[in-house]
This record gives sequence, C-alpha cells and structure tokens, in this order.
Amino acid sequence: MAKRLPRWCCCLLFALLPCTGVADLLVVVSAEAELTRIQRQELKDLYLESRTLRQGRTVVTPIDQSERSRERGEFYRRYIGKTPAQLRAHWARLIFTGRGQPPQTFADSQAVVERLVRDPNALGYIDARFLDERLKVVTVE
Amino acid sequence: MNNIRGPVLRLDAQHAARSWRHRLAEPLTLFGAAGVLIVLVILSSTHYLVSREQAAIKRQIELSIGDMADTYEARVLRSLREIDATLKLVDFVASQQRSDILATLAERNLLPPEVIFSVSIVDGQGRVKERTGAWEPATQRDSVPALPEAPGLLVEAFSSAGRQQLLFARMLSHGRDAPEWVTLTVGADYFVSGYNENALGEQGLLALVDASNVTRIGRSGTRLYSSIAMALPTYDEIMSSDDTPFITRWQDVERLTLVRPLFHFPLSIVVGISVEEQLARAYPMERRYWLRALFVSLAALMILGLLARLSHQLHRERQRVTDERLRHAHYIEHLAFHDTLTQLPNRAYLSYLVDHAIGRYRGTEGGFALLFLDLDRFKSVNDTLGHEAGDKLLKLVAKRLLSSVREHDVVARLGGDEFVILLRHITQREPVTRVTEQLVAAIQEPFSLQGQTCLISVSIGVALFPDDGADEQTLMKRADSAMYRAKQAGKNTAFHEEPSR
Repeated sequence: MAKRLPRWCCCLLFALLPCTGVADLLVVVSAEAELTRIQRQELKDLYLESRTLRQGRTVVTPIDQSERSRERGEFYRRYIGKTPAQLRAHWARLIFTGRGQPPQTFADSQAVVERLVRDPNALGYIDARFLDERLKVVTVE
Repeated sequence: MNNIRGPVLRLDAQHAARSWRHRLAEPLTLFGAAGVLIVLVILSSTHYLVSREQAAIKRQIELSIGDMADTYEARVLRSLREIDATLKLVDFVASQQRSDILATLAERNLLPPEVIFSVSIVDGQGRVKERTGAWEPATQRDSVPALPEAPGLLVEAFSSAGRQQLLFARMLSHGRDAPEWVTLTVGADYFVSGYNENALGEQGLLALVDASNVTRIGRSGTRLYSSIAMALPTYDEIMSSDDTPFITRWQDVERLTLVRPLFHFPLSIVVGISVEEQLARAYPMERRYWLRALFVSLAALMILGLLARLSHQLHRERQRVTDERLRHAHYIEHLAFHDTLTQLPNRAYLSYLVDHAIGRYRGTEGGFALLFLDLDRFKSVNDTLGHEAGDKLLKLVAKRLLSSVREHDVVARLGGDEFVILLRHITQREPVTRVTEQLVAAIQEPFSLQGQTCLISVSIGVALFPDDGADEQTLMKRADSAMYRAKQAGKNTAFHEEPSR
C-alpha cells in the first residue's frame, strides 16, 4: 500500500496537468464559419504571416490579443513556439522591410469574441470561459 | 710514327662554333628552359586570374553597396513617414475629441502594430494621458527626455531596460491651455532589423546617425551599437561626393561606406561593407586556383621530364651509333693504311709519308734516307717450314727492325719480304751506314721458329733525299736497284746508291 500510494498520486498529478497555467485556451471561429479543424503548421503560418490560409474562397483573418493579456503568452508558447523577444524581432523585420503586418490585436478574450461574431472569416483564441453558442471550437491537429 | 692511323684529317674551324649551339639543343638545357617557361606562364596567368577575381569582387561591392543603400534609405524613409503620419493622425483626432483618442484609432485599426510601436499622449509634466503598446513610460519616467515646446517632428533617443529606444513626438495642435504631445516609441533596433547577413556579411554595417554623426542605432552582424560617434565626412562633403563610397574605420573594421542624409528628417543612413570580409569569401576559390596551377605545373614538368628522358635516351643511342661508325671508319682507315700481318704502314701510307717528307725537306738543308730491305732466303723458310712459320718470321723481323731505328723513323712493309725504312733528318751517308749495320746485325741473329733455329739475312739498298732523287718514284727505284746490287754482291749487306749514276 505504501508503494502504491505514490503511483496513485502521480496519476492524479498527470490528470491535473493540462489545468495548469491559463485555465483552458481554445482556438475558435464564428459558428457560421466553415472551418472546423486546422493543422498546427497552418496556425503557425497564419499568425506569423508566412502564408495565408484559404478556406473555400475566402482568406482566414487571424485575430490576436494584446501583449498585456495572459492568453497571448500561453497561445504563442503552446502553438507558435516563440518567445516575446523572438516575436518582436520577427515582426520588426517584416514590418521594416514592408513584407507583412501582424494580426490586429484586441484587449482581451471578450473583445476577440465580439470581433469573431461579426466576421465568419476571422479566427482567434480565447479563454474557455468566454466560449458561447455563437462560436465554434476549431480542433488543432 | 708506326702507330698512327693514317693521314691526319683536319677539323674545320666552324666545328667549334657549331658545338655550343648544339649544346643549346641538348635535352637538359632545352627541356629545363621549356619547363621554367611553362611554369612561369601558368603561375603568371593564375596570378592574373586571381587579381581579376579580386577586382571583380571589389567592383561588385561598390555596385551592391549602392543598391543596399537605396533599399535601406527607402525603408527607413517609409517607416519614418508612417510614424509621422500616425502622429499627425493622432493630432487630428485629438482636435476632434478630448478623450479616448487612441482607443478610437485602435478600434479602427489605424495605429501601428503595438508589438513594435507604442503610442502615448503626455502632458507637460510627463504624465501619460493615454497609451497603447507594451512599453511602460511611467516606470522609466526619469530616462524619458523632456520634450521641447516646438512644432514639427521631434526625434529623441533614450535607453530603457538596456535597449535603445527612439522617441518621435509632435506637439498637439488643439490649442488648449496646457501643451500636450503625442509620442511614438519604438525599439531602435527596429531600424536595423533589415540587416541581411547574406548581403552585408558579419562585418557589414547598417546605421542611423543624427546630424552630429552619433549613432542612434547601428548594427554589425548581430551586435548593436548606440550613441557612439562615427568619424564620417561632413554633410557638405557627403553632398558633393556624388554618392561615391569611401573607406571608414569604425570599431576596428575597415569598411567601404556610403552615407545618405534623409530628406526632411534630421537623420542619415550609413551602409558599410567590410572589403576584407568580402575578399575572404573568394579565398577558397583563390586557393583552388593556386592548387590547380600547382597541379598543372607539376603535370607539365612531369611530362617534360619524361620527354627529356626519352630524348636523352635517343641522343645517347644516336651517340652510340655514331661512335660505332667512327670506330668502324677508324678501323677501315687503319686497314687501308696498314699491313694486316705486321701492323706496319703499307705501301699507300708509305707513299704518303714519303711525299710528306719530301714536302717538308724540300728547299731546306735537311733530308732523309730511304732504305729498301729484302730478306734473303725467306722463300726457303716459307717452303720448308710452311706459311705460318713464314708469317711468324715476318712479324719477328718487323719487331727487330722497329727496335733498331729511332722513334720518329718509319718502318713499312710493301708486301712479301720487302720492307722500306724511312730515316728522317739524314743528310749524310755515314749515320745511315751505322743504321744499316745495326739492321743487318739484328736480322743475322738466329730466329726461333717452331722449336727450330732459323738463320736469315737481309739485303739493303739506300737512297738519300735530295742527293739520289727529288721525288718518291726516283728514290724508290734507286733504293731498289741499290738493294739488287747488294744481293748480287753476296747478300747480307747494304749498298748505297752510287751518286755517280
């Protein structure tokens, strides 16, 4: 029994692991959008503006959050794999050379939700608490 | 005198002159010179190629630095105009409404990306009324420069958290009681983020300098420089330089540099390329050139060496054949002028020697004697003991005759048992008589042939030049007849030609 207890503890810890950090981060689109799943690489390309993502005949517009939001740090760490300094260097080069503009930013998840609802072509990330019936979760593969 | 080959063939005078020219054509000289020449040609052409390559690289640098300056100038100008446009836009909105100016603009996506740029509105006390972006001016209050109350675009530099920041500001023109400014702050490295290592290398330089040539920001490779003075030509010098790059030395690197003051902004751009670094890129190629040259030289030398060896062998072979022929010719010549049995001069050679002697003594006090010798009873020896014994006897006689005369006298055999002796430097008969007595005595000595003792004798006829005749034929005839008389007088004696005849 003394030996089984730590293993049981481990199981519990592993189960709770995804709950650490931001409660839960979701990549979402408007409920009217056709998009249901997205490749991790496509998401990366979309947010770093190395390549546009087409969905049918329209172009998907990425929506970002302000640098002050907690979701932003989590999103870039989890899906894009870049530190804020790397991101700044990336965008500095692209903006300075005139090759790209970063996604439009909104103050928090609530503002992103408002924006997504208005535009079925937009894609954003929010805290799970802000999910409602007007939005659809996109599976990141 | 009896040993010589025959009449001496004189060498012509041209022969010596020709020989040194022949020496030039000798394999070692010829191929050595050709090898040196080929190696020189290869090395000098390689040197020419390498120097042309370097010149091409330098020309390329001068061309590309102009292109890069064009691009950099355009990008900096565009960025500055966008920044200025933002400031003017904020100014315009501020003249329309009192608060939420930035929020209004952000909502319409009219502000520059806040990842890089932060915009704020500050009052005269440095208090921030509104702001966007991550930069927190409140915490850096003391490092933000105080803004002057002046119209137009203001550019200031300050350091925040170890990073050089550039601050652009405009005084708001709403005309309210307290002055306010709209500021846009951007990390200075933004202006050198277009640094392309492929084009500029690790030692290149991109920089923004202010009117007093202090770097607002500079970048070389991955290193950033700020607020360091650069030794650049003055504004007037730059404007009159017709956009020609010049050499500068900054932070221990020599660069080809181009400076362009920006239109309407109090800044200049600086683009520099390290010539040494660019030339270093060509070093592997240059080394390849030299290695190839070395390889080709070695190959050429090896081929030449092989050819030289073959040529030398051919030369030696030809030399051997020539030597062989010469030896053969000498042998033939010897045969033609000597008697094969006794190796004494034969009739032809004797006639040449007599002619020669006549030519030499004619008209002088001197003279010579011609002795005609015929062995007595030689025929009976030949008949009784055989031809081989006869031949052996002749050889022995020849030897005795030779040892009885002086070194420079000639003993010749005419054939059969007839010999002729030419005594030089003889003017009187007396010394001749001494010689003939010696000869007679020498032949009288018994010969030992095939275990038997053989006794023979000799009859000698003597003729003197010039007393007894002035030409060879007469002399020979006189000597011959004198010999006959000696034979008739009982052999084994010598008779002189009678001068009375």
